[in-house]
Amino acid sequence: MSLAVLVVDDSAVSRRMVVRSLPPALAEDVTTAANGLEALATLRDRPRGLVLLDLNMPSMDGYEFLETLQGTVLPIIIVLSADIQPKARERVMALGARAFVRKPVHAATLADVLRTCGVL
Amino acid sequence: MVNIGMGQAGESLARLFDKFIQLSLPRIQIVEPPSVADAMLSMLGHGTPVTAVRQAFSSRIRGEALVFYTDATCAGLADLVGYPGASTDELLLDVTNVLVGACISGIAAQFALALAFSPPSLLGRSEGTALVLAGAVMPWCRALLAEVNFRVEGRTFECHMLMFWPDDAMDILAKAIDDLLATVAE
Repeated sequence: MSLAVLVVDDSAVSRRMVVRSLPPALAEDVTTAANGLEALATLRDRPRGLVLLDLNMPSMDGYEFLETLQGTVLPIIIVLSADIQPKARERVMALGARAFVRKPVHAATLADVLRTCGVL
Repeated sequence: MVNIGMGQAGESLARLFDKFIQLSLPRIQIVEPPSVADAMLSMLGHGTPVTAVRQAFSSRIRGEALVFYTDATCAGLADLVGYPGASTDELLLDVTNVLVGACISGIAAQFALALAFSPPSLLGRSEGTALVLAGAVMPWCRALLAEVNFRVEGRTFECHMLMFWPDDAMDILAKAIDDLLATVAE
């Protein structure tokens, strides 16, 4: 059975590109959300094992999403973001993200990171 | 596209100031000369006086960027950069160069385009936004306008970057984006 995946990004194009970058083994059960609020609602109803999270989103951004999840058992969260400043990486790792991948995401890079996280 | 360019600009600023930079959500619209001033004013706000720096860039997607800094931002800049005695004008040109260079390079790289930048120049100093815009002659028929803004967490730094891709450049950009979208279409 494949790990259930949630892709969180406000851009429809970006969501599509991320889904297409997933290795086949992880492409069977993929849900998407357009911001942190939607992502939280999805996770409440349908727990996911892996979350691919953008940072810069309206309504609730990636940082707030991570902050809201503090104190709960986190799925594996990999941040995929264009916000590549050093402190962005520090912050999300401190909030429990397993890895930070800069956009635009390439399938090979994502596969390497997923392997490092023990997901693949 | 703009999001990725802005992320690179934010990173450059973060390294320059050694502070966390708050990135906005990009705003994009197509403008024509009669509505440009209104579009820009609605993005920037009418209130505080601003100092503006403009910088042009050339490639197949030539255009220009206008960066607007509030007076409070200008006043705190030397301190933020760590050169208390530095000239504000020079710092504004340097910071603009960093922001525009990183952002436009980041965008152009996604289309594998070579770029050349003109030097930045001051457009208006501590003036109302409308006055600054009145001084910025824009000889095109239509343009794609993108706006992003940057704030420094815990400091009074705020700047808005407006990017314009006029006429032909806009069409080339649109085509390049269509080509990119075609690769992700289901």
